[in-house]
Amino acid sequence: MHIPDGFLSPQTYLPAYALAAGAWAWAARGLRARLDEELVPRLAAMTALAYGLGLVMVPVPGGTSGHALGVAMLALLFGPRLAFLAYSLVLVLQSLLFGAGGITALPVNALAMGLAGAFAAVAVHRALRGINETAAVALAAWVSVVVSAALVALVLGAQPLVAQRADGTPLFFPFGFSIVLPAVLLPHLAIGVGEALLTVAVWRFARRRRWRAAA
Amino acid sequence: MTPAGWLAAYLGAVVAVGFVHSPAALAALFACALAAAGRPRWRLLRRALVAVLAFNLAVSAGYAAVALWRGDFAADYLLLVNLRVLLLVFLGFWFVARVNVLAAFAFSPTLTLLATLAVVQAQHFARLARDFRLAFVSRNPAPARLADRARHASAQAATLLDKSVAGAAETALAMRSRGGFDD
Amino acid sequence: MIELENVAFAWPDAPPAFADLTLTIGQGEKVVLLGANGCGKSTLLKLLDGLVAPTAGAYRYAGEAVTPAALKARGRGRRFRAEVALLFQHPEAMLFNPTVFDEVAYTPRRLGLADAEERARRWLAALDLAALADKAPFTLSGGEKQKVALAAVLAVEPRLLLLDEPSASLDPRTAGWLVDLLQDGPATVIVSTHNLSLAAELGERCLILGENRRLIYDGPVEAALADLDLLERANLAHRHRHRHGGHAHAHAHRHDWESS
Repeated sequence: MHIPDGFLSPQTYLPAYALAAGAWAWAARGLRARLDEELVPRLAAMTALAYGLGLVMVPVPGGTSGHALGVAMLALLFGPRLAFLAYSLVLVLQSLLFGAGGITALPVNALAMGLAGAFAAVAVHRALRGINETAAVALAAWVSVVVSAALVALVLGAQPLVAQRADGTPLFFPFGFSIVLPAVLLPHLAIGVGEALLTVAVWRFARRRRWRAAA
Repeated sequence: MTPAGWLAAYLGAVVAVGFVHSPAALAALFACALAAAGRPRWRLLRRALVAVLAFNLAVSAGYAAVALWRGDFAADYLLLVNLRVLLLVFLGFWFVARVNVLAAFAFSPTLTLLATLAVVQAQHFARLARDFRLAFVSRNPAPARLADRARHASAQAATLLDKSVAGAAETALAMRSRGGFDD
Repeated sequence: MIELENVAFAWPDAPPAFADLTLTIGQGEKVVLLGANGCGKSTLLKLLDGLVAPTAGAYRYAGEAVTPAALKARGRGRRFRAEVALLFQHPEAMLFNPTVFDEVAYTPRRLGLADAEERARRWLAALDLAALADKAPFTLSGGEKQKVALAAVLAVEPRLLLLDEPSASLDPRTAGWLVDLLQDGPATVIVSTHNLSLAAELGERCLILGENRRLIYDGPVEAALADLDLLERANLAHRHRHRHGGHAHAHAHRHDWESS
């Protein structure tokens, strides 16, 4: 869900930045006191990991592959706060350093994928892990993909409402909800399945390695 | 101008361009940016074109189809949105090429350290991911089956996880041994 | 068997990895590819394995042009992968199967060979890996991973074997066994290394990639290893001072070191 600069209106991304700033401050609160030789490398490694996971192609039935999000994996293994911060830092690096990814879409992506995706994954996992661990992990990953996609689609679909000319021609992203929601959501229902399979496989690997899962 | 100054100028320009809704004015701004970018301008322009091509073509073609069907097609909009996207992406590439972005974070030493560590590892991971992909091609005489691709993707993710956990521990030790955070 | 004609390659957004390579390698030749770190050895092997396309010039294998696109043709890619195998520098990149046995049998099975299992057993035994057959590859040590990756490549029994720094984490016994195997076998072998003593044992012919990203030597191994000026230019040998009882003098040195 790589939105280039220029499709989101300032009326959208400026408030989104304000909201994201609050979320970053909240996620970093408490961490700041522990920003030491333990946490800085950990956060850096996790950021690189979030970036690397984005390069892994998710196998999707039918042969095509979409890109992995990996947020659910990070959130289940290391907690939603750290996942959100690492994912946000990846977006910053991608847009500023590697020149890939819009600086205006950044807060929307960070909030939708990093924050909502991570919390959706953890919430679903907590709710269901008592019933069946594997199903809980798979569903957590699937839900986090679909929730993120839905949020991004909502923001895109709202653009014609937020900013248009007097005669009704759009100024930014041209399509309303009726087109964007199915166009974005339907492929992500399948991508979510690939992501779920991948997350379960890595979860098992992490358990075998006895990594401490997020409490 | 300092790197942090360039960062502020770039961000200001991005926001300002978002409030310009006249294709003619955007074209004029684009011409100014091209003129000011100096020698690498055509390389930057080509990269910007390639970067936005897929998304913009899809949106433009989709808009044309839907609008023609509804009977409210506006060529003006297509020009406006494509010009603006291209200008903003061009500005982004220009900024990245002109300024050492890590130095632009200098206002926060922790952020600089964090970003530098992350970038080094991210590049390492990118190389590793490329090797994984090529090794998979090399070992598959025919297009791989879904189950094999799934196993390959999870092995790749697990290796990246493993390396990042080990990398974090290693960097922490190295920083401690070099006296980092000893205030 | 292999013809390179003015071949150049560059990764996207990077300076050229090498340029202007022209050479031919005949059936059954044992070639050592030398060069300091970052001189494009690994990239050249990936190009020879048809994984990346030359950005300039032409690469022909058995008379036919090789690029990733050309290998998409049905039958062609299958034939090429059955004849050419590459051992990656980092063995992790090759390991993704649930057990060591499946790992080694993977490509033979994909090729639909009737003796895939039998081949896997044979090469596991040859490399002393039989005891690990049921283990998961990711639980192994670095040296064991390298051996599993090597077995996976050898089990293809290719006509062209490309090895990228195979001795980096091999124990001396396995390295010696590999040298014998390669020398006695019929396959064409191209081995990249910066380990000069291994180069001397392994190959007859030696290619040196210089720091100018071009081929600076193509000839017999012995002559190359005796030419300290050449090795120094390729950054494979270095010059430093010695003291002998108060007298200091300087001369070039070969160093047989390894790095990953």
